[in-house]
Amino acid sequence: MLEVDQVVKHYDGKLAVDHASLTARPGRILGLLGPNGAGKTSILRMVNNITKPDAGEVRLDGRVVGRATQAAIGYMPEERGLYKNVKVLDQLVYLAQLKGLRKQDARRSAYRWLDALDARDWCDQRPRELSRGMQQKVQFALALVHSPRLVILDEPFSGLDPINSALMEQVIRDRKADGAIVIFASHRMEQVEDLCDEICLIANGRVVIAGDLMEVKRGFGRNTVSLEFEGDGAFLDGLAEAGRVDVLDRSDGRAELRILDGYSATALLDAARQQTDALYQYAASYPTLREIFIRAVRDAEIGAR
Amino acid sequence: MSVLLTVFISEYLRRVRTKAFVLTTLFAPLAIAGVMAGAAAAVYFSVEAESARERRIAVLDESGRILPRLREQENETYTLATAPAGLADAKQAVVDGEVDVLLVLPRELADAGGPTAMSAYVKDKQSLTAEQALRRFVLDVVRDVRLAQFELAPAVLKTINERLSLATIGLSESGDEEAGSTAGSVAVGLAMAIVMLMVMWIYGALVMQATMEEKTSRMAEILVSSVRPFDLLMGKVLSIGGVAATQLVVWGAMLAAFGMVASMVVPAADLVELGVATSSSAGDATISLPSIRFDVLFIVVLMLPLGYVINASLFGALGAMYETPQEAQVAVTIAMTPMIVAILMVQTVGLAPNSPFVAFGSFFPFTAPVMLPTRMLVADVPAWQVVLSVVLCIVSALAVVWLAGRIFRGSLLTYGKKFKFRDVWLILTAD
Repeated sequence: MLEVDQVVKHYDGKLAVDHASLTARPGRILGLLGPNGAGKTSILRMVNNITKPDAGEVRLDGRVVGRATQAAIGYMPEERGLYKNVKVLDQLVYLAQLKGLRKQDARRSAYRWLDALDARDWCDQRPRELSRGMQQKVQFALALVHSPRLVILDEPFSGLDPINSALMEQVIRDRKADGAIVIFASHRMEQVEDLCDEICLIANGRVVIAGDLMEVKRGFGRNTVSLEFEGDGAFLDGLAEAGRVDVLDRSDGRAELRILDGYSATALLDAARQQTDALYQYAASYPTLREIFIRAVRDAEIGAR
Repeated sequence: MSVLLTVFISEYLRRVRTKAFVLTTLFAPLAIAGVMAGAAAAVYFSVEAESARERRIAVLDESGRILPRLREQENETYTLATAPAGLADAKQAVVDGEVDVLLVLPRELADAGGPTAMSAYVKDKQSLTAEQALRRFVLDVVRDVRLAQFELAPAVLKTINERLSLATIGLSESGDEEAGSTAGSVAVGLAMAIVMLMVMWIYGALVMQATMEEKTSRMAEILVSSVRPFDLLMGKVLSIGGVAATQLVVWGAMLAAFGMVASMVVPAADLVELGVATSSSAGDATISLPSIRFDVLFIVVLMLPLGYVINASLFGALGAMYETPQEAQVAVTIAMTPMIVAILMVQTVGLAPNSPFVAFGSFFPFTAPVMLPTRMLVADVPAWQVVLSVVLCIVSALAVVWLAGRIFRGSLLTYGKKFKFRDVWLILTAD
């Protein structure tokens, strides 16, 4: 289990992480969300023992992170880095050795991961000869080559085509099934929704929302409604002006709304039936992660002021 | 296996296995030797050509006593031409290119005790070689004419003309004799110092390039999530040091092998004749090379790595602070100042090897690696001073390595920031 416990970090006198706490469990994937500059990378660097917290503690399986825990962590930073002129296999072996594997084991493991990622053919190539997507896969293998207990992936899918994306997704699920702790930081909400069991949303250096993804959604209520109808949908303007609903997304014959306090899903259904030429679809659901993200960040910013 | 060792071995092998390394190691000495031989040959042949060029000399000899003697000296280079009477016309002849040199010899020049100055007019400036050749042609003749009035015995004349020499032979406490002049020691010391500085400089710059590359390729973040930054920096410093040692050993072996082959093919006497080797018995040798001093060699082998580690650690830390060599320029200049000072200092060693200034230079850790062995070559340095200098250098190397490690750690993952002294101070004092 990874525990980030009331961690504080300043940079140049500015508060980057403000008493942040989060927990990631074995066999679960934690989605780490937050706007740019929220403090995600700062937290990940402390987890990796690259920097030390000013206050608070980070523990992996009960031990405060340090030199010893680094070997149990695989990290794919958002800013990708590879030696441009070193063969792919050599980079993997080197990294695995730095993580404490013996040379033979490192080599065997490197081949295993290259096979798993369908990348064996490039083992003698140098990154400058590879496409961006290929480099991305090598980077991914670098984080996994020593079979770490904790895998931290920062935007692992950026720049990948859907096929390779699916391949990597499967690898992540396999790691989860093997009981690894997985942290997945991303701005792609659909992917986070798809992959993660838990989320932790950070804004202005603070944890704003944390917990099981479904529970978080339930906490927001089943008050997101999507409509498909025939007609101009002018009635929606009236409802929005009256403060009954919040229009989240709208196009010709389609709308996504949030029902505001004091109004109900049935009332909205009645209004829609009466004021459209035809109603094809009406569905009340939990808010999307995207919506939760936008609302939570907006609230946090209002709170900060 | 320790992480530092892993970094060291991996980086060392990665560098040594490149084609560039193999090519530079094998061919750099040949290329340098080739360029030097080419330059020497070019200079030699152009000097030959210059001194062999025919010149017509017109002489205005007011006494009339020197010109006949000059005529006896006429050779393929210098032929005497008749000048138009009158200085102005004669000068005009030079300007018009009718004669190459106009030599004006005042009337009293031929008299003993008379004026000693004479003038030669030429069109435009002459080369150094031509000037020297002209002096050789004229001055001895003038002196002989002036001396002739005394009717000296030939033995006296011969004695006056003999060139004298003085050989310095050092005596050690055990009474061993050691040939070699101070000038020779200074020359060897200077050459040694320049080679040492180049080693520190070139390989130190490689360390900077390597850390800068890791920073800009963003490899740094992955690495420091696995390795202590200190181990990373030291692994780099030591592996590039290993590369340097490998190259120096290979080059040394090549030089030794070349020397052996050359001495087998060409007998020593011929080498002396060719000017490749200097013979200490050559009567006119005022500069003779000292024999190999093993104590100095030992100090070089000890101090060169220390000096390298000091410089390379600093350069490595600078590489972590900047993203391009252009940005690092100012800081690099500051870091290199001690080495530049060392170059200037080394030149003063021969003048006063035991002066406080030179002694300070052989203690100050940034210049000591170069100054101490040079000073030992020229003068007897008390053993306690040698030991003190080495100890100071070791302590400073450790301190610099520690400081550099902190700067490296504090700046490696900071991008797009201009470091000021205050920032460096904050990094150093942070817990």
